[in-house]
Amino acid sequence: MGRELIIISAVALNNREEEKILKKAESIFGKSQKSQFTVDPSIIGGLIIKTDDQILDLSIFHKLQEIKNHLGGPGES
Amino acid sequence: MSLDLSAKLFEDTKNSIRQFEFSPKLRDVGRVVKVGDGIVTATGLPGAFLGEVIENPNGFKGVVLNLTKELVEIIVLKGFGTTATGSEIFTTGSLLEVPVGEKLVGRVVNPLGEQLDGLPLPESQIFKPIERKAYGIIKRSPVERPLQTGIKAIDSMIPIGRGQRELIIGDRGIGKTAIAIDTIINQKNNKHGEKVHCFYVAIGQKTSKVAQIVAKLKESGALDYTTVIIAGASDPVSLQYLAPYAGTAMAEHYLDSGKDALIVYDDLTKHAWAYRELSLVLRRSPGREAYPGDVFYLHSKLLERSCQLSEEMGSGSLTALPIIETQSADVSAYIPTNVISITDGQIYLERELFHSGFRPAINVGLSVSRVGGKAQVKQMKKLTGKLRLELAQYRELTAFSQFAADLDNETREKLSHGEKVMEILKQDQFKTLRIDQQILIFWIAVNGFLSDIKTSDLRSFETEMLKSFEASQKDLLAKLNPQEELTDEITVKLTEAVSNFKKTRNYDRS
Repeated sequence: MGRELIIISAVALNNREEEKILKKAESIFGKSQKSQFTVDPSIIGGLIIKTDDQILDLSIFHKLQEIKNHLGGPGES
Repeated sequence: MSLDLSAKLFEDTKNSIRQFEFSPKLRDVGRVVKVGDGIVTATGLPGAFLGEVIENPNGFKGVVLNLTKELVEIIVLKGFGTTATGSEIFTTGSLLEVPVGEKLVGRVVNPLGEQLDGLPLPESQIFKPIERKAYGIIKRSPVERPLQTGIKAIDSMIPIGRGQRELIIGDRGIGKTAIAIDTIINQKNNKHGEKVHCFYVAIGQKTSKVAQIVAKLKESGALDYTTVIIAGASDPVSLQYLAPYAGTAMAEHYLDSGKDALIVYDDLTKHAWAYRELSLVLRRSPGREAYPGDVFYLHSKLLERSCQLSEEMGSGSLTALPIIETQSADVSAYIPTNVISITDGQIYLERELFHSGFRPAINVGLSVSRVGGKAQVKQMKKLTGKLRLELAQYRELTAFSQFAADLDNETREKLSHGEKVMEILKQDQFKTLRIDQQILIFWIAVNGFLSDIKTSDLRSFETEMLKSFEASQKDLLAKLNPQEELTDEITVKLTEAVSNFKKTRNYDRS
């Protein structure tokens, strides 16, 4: 049952890198029908791998957010 | 902030970051399709389970409360307005948790464990799930140790034990919260080794009222062992719904560690209202009085978590004082009857008593403590064993008091004695009494020392006598040990001391 895989990186990837990542992603998410690679500098670094209803967020942006939460985050009223 | 302080803060923050372990999980993604009424509805989230925490990077936090084939309904806890339709939200894989532990003592927090008293929270905290199954039968042991409220009417005739659930029930504004707060304040009189950690959960209360309570707790030193959890009237219903469970999770930390804790739920009526509102918005079928069908379970699963654990489990206890507000004294209404059947007894407050000046306005006849006997100190039991019966007889006799002229002496004396006992049971708010002081007062009442004092002088007699004993009879007071019989030697000394006091202050004329 192929799903669409979307892979987001902070910088453009070359063909070899894309192949390697796709292979690993499919081992987690299962064989995909279609895959799409996007570049989004706002994630700062790392990767985000998504299907339509699951996400594996390995980006630096997310890591920084987790650290922020761990430190207690801003005090809310 | 001084340079030293900010340098330390910087170091602490750096260490915190170093200790942090980044463990990315495969999370489910959902797309929001509907937002409103404190509920966010989403598609996707294929693996979401009931009670799972859902988040988004914009500070949204919610809990899954409904799962249907196509949709997941999430109640919003935090970050109202941070989810627009079409935006993404993510599962976290965990149930809702709150921070627990000693670091919460003296703090005022919301049901998510976030601070409300303006002081920072410690970074590393232990987290426990808000919901937990109550301990099974084997792990428990009977309630046998007393919890002193410091209120004469309760400790004498409706004694509460550690691990018991005792309901405080009555109309609005007649002293329910006052009894709970006095009990919390009185825990400062516990001897070392018998400490009770207190938790006050305010559900749907006016913020002004809670502010007053916190100030009073602080003033009387109770904040040294109390934590306050607030979900006020203007807080989202989701938080009001969770507040009692969050407080219980924090209190269970002590229960599990072999210590004693006390938790007050003020009040469960507003809690039921909040749950009703949530259930109606979630389109669950309304039942009697529009409450959802599981409104009994709402409270039973909460109150069953209060218990006395066995020795193998550490002998810890969690005592619960839930509060229910009745409308026009109707204890046969839906929610009151539910909670009455769950708890181990109730303290029943009456409007008539309150307005006639009998405060605390406890109707001793209708109040019950189903654990009673064993959990009461021996000495108190001995002194007050007959008291309940005498008061019941007195209440029957008062119907005849209008014919006072036609009564025989014995009846007239019974009436007079009963009237004096009722007077001695009155107590001012925030003036709790230690067990030795209570034993003294009841010993005096039961042994006829009040018969020659005018009823109207009784309150001042009590106050002055206690003051005098604190000042000059400290050793005698200390001998009033709750667990031991009063020896003849002590009785003689007491008789002497009390008679002298009466003489010197001119209390011995009727």
